Amino acid sequence: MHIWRYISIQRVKQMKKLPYLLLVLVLFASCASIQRSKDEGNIERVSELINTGQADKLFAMTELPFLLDQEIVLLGKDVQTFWSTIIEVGFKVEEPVLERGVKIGPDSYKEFYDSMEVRTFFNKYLKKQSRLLELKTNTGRRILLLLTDTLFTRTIHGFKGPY
Amino acid sequence: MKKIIFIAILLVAVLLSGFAVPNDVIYSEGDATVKYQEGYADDVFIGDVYDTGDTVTTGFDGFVELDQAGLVLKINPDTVFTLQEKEEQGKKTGVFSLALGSIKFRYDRITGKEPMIQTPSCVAGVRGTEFSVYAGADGSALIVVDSGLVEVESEGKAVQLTAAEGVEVQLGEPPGEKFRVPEEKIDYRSWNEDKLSKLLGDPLVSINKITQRLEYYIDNVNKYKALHTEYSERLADERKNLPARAEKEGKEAARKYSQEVIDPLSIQTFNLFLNVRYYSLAALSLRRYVGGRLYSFLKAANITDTANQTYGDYLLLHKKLLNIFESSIAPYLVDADI
Repeated sequence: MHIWRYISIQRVKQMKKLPYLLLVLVLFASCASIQRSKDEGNIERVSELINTGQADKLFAMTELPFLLDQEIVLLGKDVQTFWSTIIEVGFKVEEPVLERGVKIGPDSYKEFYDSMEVRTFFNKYLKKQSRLLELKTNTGRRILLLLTDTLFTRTIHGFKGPY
Repeated sequence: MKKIIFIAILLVAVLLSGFAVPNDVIYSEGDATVKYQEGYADDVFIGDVYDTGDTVTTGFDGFVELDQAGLVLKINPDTVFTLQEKEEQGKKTGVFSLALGSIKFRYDRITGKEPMIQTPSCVAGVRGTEFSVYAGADGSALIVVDSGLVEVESEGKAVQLTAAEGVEVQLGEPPGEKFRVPEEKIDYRSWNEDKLSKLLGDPLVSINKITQRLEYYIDNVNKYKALHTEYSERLADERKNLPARAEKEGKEAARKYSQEVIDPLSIQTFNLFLNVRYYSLAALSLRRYVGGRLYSFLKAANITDTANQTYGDYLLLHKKLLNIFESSIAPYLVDADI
């Protein structure tokens, strides 16, 4: 076969694959944007609950054990006290913007605190679909949230900040 | 390699350390959960049997009654209670560890092998038949005897309580003055509210007391770890020399030597490791239920006022505590403890 003919056949074959490739890219992009909008929805929901003083709903969304900065909180009444106290003292998350939403990786625990306890917490208590969300408020300070969003439930596992 | 062997010993120790007598759940109501020594959690059910390393936690409406062959433990609401073991004068002894909350103990009979009772601030030796132990939010303890005799020890000082007597022990201090117990029942919730106010009232004093107590546990961990290493080396030497002994003195003599010297040495070595674990877990309990709670309460109260000088100073001391814990205690913990 003549070399030019061979090249043109190969090009046609590649051209045939192009729509599939584009489809994969579009699907990938839309998945990423769906995930981003889910992450944005989650930080907006948590911020809204804090800003509107709904400690009971925050508590109901929180799973035990709960990671507060580097502390593993085991008692439900302590988690309840945490949410109600931050609301009582007037803590607000103003104009939250999602900076980052990522799946939990092997080193994600270091973003909370680099210790044996926090590493174990991440390995033991977080789920496969749990995400680490970083949000920025209008004061420029950041908050980290550990959250699992499934079809029917949204669960808070951890809170760090503002820092 | 050494680390892998050490972790393996830790895991074996965790799994082998069975409580001498099982603890049967004879009654349970309200919010009550158990975290098994293997690390998983479940609700408490009547008929469950708990063993060393298991932790029972009751919520605001939770109540659990355990039966341990002649001893009934009534675990009241808002309590965190763990079954532990340690080596005491060459023998394994059961330890009831009360991190927070209150428990009433009632013995049918005293056998002299009663488990010790440990709170963040003191240890109580049981000679009595009916008494209550309360552990407060600031790590302090209150022991009240209904009948019999209880010896309470802290910071090298011991007091003996008889019927209708009580004593309070502050974290890092010897037992206070004995007092006559009032006729009316002691209200744990209001007593604990007072302890919580004290804890939060001066965070710098509180964190320093917690750090001091942590250092006491670390000293014991280091002491028993050094002894364990020494005994492990002796044990390894004895085992290595056994074939030579058998060749020189005969198989029967070697077997006798193994039974009389090596086996007891092996048990002693294991028991020393039990103490390393005991003090490590006591340190974890202090960190979690006193130090960690102090942090979460202060963090919430100061979340909008991070410029607060006292809070800033507290955070520095807390960071110091975290570093000490991570370097001195965390190496002796396993995932199941967390």
